[in-house]
Amino acid sequence: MNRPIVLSAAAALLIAGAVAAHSTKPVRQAPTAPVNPVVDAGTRAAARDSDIVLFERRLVEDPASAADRSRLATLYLRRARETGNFVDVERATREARQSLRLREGHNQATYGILASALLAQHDFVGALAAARALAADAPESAANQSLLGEVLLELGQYDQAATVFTLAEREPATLGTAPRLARWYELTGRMDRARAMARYALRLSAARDDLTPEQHAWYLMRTGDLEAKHGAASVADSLYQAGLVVNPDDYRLLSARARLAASQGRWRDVVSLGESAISTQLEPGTLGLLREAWLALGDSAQAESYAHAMTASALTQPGPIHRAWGLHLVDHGERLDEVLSRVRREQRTREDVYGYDLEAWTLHAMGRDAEAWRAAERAVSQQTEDALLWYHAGVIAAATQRDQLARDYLGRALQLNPSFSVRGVAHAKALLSGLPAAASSGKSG
Amino acid sequence: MSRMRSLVVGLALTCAAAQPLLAHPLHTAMAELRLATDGTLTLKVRAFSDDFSAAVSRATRSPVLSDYRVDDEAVLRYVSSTLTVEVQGRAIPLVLSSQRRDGDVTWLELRAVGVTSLKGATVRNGLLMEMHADQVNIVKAQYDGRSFTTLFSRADSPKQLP
Repeated sequence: MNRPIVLSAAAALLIAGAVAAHSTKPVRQAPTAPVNPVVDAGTRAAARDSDIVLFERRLVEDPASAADRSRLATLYLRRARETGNFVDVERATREARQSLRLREGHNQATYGILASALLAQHDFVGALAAARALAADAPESAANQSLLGEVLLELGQYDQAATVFTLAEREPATLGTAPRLARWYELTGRMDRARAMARYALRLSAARDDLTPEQHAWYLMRTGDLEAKHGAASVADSLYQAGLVVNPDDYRLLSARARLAASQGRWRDVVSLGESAISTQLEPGTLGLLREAWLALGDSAQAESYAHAMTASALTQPGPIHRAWGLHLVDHGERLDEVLSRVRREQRTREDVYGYDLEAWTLHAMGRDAEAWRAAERAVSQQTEDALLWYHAGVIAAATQRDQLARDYLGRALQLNPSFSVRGVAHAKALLSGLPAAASSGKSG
Repeated sequence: MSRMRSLVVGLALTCAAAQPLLAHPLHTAMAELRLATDGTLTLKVRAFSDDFSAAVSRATRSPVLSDYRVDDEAVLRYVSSTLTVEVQGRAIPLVLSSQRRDGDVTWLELRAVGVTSLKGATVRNGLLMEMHADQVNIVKAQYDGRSFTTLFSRADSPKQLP
């Protein structure tokens, strides 16, 4: 911790270059000359905090300053990203709202801050209103359009998202648009374009000397996540490790490495990485990974303590269930009624493919396969190249005697990522081998 | 954690905002035990300052000072009553060696001497549990060349280190 980041920027560049070199598609050239100041993480955090104190004090003296409230909201959001402190997200929301109450004119960018803060709180409807206000103010702005598109993706409004991303896509990609475009491509079955766009964003970020280590690390993580989904585990892990050089102890990267290790059955590594991650930020998905790892390692007491922790914390909270934790519960046949109830409640306002996937998988675990199939069809409706979605849909297709579709979907899952999950891969292969030959298939779907 | 300068603020509008932050607020406080070969036991505690100062104030009837600071003696009383380390059935007496703020976070460092081993010791991290029903705390223990992490929620009894 607290090491200079000169090496880290170099590492980011090296990785960015390495990934670009392995690219199957040309990406636009990005400038390459990152120069980061030699400032250690502790100094940077202290400076950030002193800025927060500065703006808090200024607002005591002049509470009607919309600009200062907006800047303070931005700083709170930054700290939330860097520390995982949820209270800072709430503070950012409050300051952004107050700033907009004070002044809307020449303050539209604050809608972007508000949208980001509301997204972080899973208030997708509120985020949509803020993003729409921002986009309406400057419809020609690709960054504004892509923020709106990002929110629409979260809400599962894919047609509307396509409309705004098509507009955003006409402009040269920037750091403000490239990650969101990558997400759109990822969710709509264009993984190669998503990976190329993520690499491009990574190169853009590596060339910037005004980003924080946390920001550099995030671009590395996103690129790694797409490589992991593509089945390129070693490339993904290299990107994650480069991110940890840039931003040591980054809990998101540690969790990402733990996920990758879990997909390969490296359970000791899952424990080591996951425990390091939760030392900074207790995150439901990582707790699920740790429970899985301890079960695989035969330590039921440790596994139970992680399950117990989740019961005591995340599951007692109102609002949407954490998707990864929901899937974890379903995989263990636990709290199925509760998971279903919560995911369906969320679907009243949010109809994204991952919500349908969780609904489908839960219904399947409950033996309600006919209903599960309807949800599974919607989960794969965007052709999202995520092996887990196709695996779930394939299992449900098999359970409903849609043998040809089961073969197609399970085969697609294995083709997309041959190591998406230790248990899932084994199950998919077993199901495939047990399905009747194509000629004698059942329902076609 | 409990929900746990550059003035380049315009930057966030363009690129930082492109990084989705999807948070699930979990209340947690972290304690890290480290036993050195000379028998010095160091306990580092991390908690969010607002929650922590409120908890200390409530438990010890001491005032919260400016900037969420609380008196060292009150801190020690509170921590000693909620975070316990017992070796062979005997509570290890800890001494507060430092209390510092890092942004929203308070870091404490406590020490004890003459601890021969943590193997078989029992620990419980009940910090802030009286504040939040959903509090989940972490204890990370490093001793004898190994590392062991365990979690605590309200209903949990002390746990034995392997």
